[in-house]
Amino acid sequence: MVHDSIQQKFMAALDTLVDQVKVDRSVLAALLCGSLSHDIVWTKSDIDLVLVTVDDKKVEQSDLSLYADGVSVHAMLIPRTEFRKMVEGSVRNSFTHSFLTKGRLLYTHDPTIADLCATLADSGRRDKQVQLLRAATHALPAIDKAHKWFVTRGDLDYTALWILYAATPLAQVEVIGAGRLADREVIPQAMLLNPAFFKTVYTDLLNARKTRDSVQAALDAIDGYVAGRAPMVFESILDHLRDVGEARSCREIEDHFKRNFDIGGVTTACEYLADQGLIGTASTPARLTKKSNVEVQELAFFYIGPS
Amino acid sequence: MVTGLSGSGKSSLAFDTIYAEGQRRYMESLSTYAKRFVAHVTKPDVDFVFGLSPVISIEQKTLTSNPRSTVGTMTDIASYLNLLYATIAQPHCPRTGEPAPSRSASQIREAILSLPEGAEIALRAPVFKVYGEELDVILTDVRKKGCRWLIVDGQAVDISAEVGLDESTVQNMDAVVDRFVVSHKHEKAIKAGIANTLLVGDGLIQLHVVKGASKAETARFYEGVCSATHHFVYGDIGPAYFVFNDPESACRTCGGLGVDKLTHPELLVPDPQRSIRGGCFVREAFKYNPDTWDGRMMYSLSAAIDFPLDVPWKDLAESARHAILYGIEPKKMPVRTPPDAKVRRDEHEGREVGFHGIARRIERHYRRYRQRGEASSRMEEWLDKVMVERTCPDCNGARLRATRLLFTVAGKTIYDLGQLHFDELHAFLGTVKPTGRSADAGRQVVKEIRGRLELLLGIGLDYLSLNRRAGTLSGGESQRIRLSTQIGSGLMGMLYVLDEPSIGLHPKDNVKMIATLESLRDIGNTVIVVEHDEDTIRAADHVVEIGGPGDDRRSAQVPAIADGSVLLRQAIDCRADEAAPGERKGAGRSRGTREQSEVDRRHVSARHARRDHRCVGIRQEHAGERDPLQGALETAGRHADAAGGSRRRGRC
Ligand SMILES: [Zn+2]
Repeated sequence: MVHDSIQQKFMAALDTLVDQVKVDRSVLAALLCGSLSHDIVWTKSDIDLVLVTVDDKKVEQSDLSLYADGVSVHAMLIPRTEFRKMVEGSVRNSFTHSFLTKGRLLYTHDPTIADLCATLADSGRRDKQVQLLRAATHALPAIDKAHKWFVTRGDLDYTALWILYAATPLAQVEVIGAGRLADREVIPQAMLLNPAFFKTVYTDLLNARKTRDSVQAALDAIDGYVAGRAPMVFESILDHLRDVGEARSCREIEDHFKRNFDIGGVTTACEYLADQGLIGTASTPARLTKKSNVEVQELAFFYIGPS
Repeated sequence: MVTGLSGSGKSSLAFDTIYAEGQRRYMESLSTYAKRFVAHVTKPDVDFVFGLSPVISIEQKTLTSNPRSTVGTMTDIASYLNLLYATIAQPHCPRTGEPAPSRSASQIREAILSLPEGAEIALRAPVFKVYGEELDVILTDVRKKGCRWLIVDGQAVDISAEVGLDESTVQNMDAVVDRFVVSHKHEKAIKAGIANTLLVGDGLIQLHVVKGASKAETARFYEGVCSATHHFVYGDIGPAYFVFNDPESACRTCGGLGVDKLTHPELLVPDPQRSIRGGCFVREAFKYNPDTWDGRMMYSLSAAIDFPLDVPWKDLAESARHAILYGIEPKKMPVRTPPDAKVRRDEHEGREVGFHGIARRIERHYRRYRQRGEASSRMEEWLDKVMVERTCPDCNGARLRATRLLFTVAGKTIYDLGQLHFDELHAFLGTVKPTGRSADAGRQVVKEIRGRLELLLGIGLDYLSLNRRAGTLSGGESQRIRLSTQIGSGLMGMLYVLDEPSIGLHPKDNVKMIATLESLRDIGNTVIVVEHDEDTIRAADHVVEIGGPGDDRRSAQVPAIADGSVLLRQAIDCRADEAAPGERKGAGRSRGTREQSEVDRRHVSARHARRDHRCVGIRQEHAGERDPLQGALETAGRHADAAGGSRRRGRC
């Protein structure tokens, strides 16, 4: 009941504000984002409002805090062209996109903005592949560190900390893999989808007393989780190496993913795939710097699966 | 005119003293901030220099090896041509070649707003395949620019989804950049949408009426603003659109250089007598070592297609040599460890892998290097050992992106014009008759270009063309080009210092050169020339001779300063009698008498310089100002002094 009355207070404040803003012809649309649009509000909540503005040199993209009937409103002003790019362009891989996706269009003067908002929810397969690769690539270094601290020092706390670092990108893998949009608060989302796994690698590590066994269990769970999904999350890498056919140096692979998908750090992923026996390790001659005159061997990888 | 025996210090006076001091003073005038970016110039060893104008030196040296510099960029004519193309050229549809209009963004906006209120219009941008680039890279780029939908050969494709596009069959791609409902209240959105589409489409917009307008209205709209078949219109095309040194306009493959690099078998294998194991390849390309992956690959290849590693390269079968250099794609070969490997590694033994060849690998590295846009002299050095230059296969040497070459003036592209010799270009531009709303501006530009060409023709450069690389010019040619540019720039009150402009000139061209120097003077400049050439000396207003006859080649002793060509006999070995007055066109008249009467070494001050001298030399007259020549002459005297010689005073 308390929540309801807070909700009502917020909605009333919002209505007042929207009525004011509607009259402003330089604001084309208002989207209600944040918790009021889809979640439970509490007294410290504020209203997140995205205002799509006309494209004009005098109207800049900016954030400002408004005050409406005792409720603070966080308003983001986004010019229409920028808004369009956020919705349709590759910026949509970012947090902003999920923020917008969960939003609700309150009103618009421009019917094409309504059309744009309607497409927000569906994420294409190519985008999904890129997002998965990015999340998984992000998780790997933390997993490595966790293993290192467990094996070399037996430091349970520090190992657990690294596992917890990995939990967020792993939760992204879970959520994106399930075809949903990963939010800023992604672990609670993922816990609903895969409770057993996230209990082991997240809840238990936080709540239960850490033992060698429980930490070992978490590490095992993670290894199994990533190994089981490797062909899916690293599909782009496997595809690329299959397409090129011969060995490629780390630098070449990094370049390719930076250019083609705007993702960095895939060498770690390649090393992981090689450890898993999914790709082969080779080497190519290289020079360390532009000035080097000595040739060294650079790590390279090649595809070994079926063509 | 500064003359004298070689080694007497002529250039030292002209360049190391007068020019250097002028430069130094100019630098002094710069802000401390600007000074940090220019090399420090030391003060010449002189007591003082008086009345110096801003100095420009035009030396013989080919100053630049910059591959981006062409005759066009040196002369500024390239800039005028860019302007001409932006103003009056006829653009064409990139797909059909039919004429397409070029409009300003606001004209396009007006046209859109003329559609019935409530009609829906989509703005699309053509997306072109890029030579040697995967479709993925292009799509990623389109996504980054904020587009999700692509119209591929008429079909809408969501590029955020997996795109199963077959690169080889895809013909036309257009990215949907924006969509609008036509209404004056959306004018600002439409304006921003047009600008954004032009950015994605690199100057091109495809207009597409989605709904809300009748057939007739739609047809009228298309007819008024865009090309017939694909509804393209070029928007806001400015001169920069045609600048090959602008990364946005430069050919994507060669980056505006017009040339590309390719491996060459003879560079890769300098000694075909050697075997692969014996090191037949240049070290930069491949070195056989059975303990590296490369060595393993080479051994595997030799096993797979059966060729020996220790037979001279020249004795290998042509098919084997081809496979080694260019690979065996799409075939695979089993991995084999060479028997001579020190460490036996069984991992991957027998696995099937591909092999793309040694030459292909170098070309791949080269492309990556180019794509990163880096400049590394070490890398260039490395590449030069194994690659040769060829005309860029993407732009065919035009340096520009293909869309730029869809603009023609009287049927010729900007590249075509750059290929014409100056005399042909001059004649061609004479036939260009600009029409339409920019006709006046176009005529002005044509006139300006022709004027500049005339200057170049005037100094015997009729055989050059704008596309010619600056690095391929002789020192004399580049000096004359820079000279004509100076005249074209119309600067006044400058002091020009030139180094032996007559070198390498045909006598008939030398006459033209002298005339050019005269016109530099006539528009209000001072010209100092270091020269041995008789005709040029004869043409001078004033001659400074350093280390004259009978001086026993003691250098920089005495500056002899003479009015007109009084020093001629000494300077040119006493052949004064040969030079009859009026013999040379435009150089005689007032001078003849003096020439005959005065042969002694009288030193004449600048004050005696006469306005009516029909000859080249140090001269400039500004009403009410001190004659800079006087300063120069004083400098000359002091220069000689500084050089340690006994000095005869120049001034009487
Ligand atoms: Zn090119």
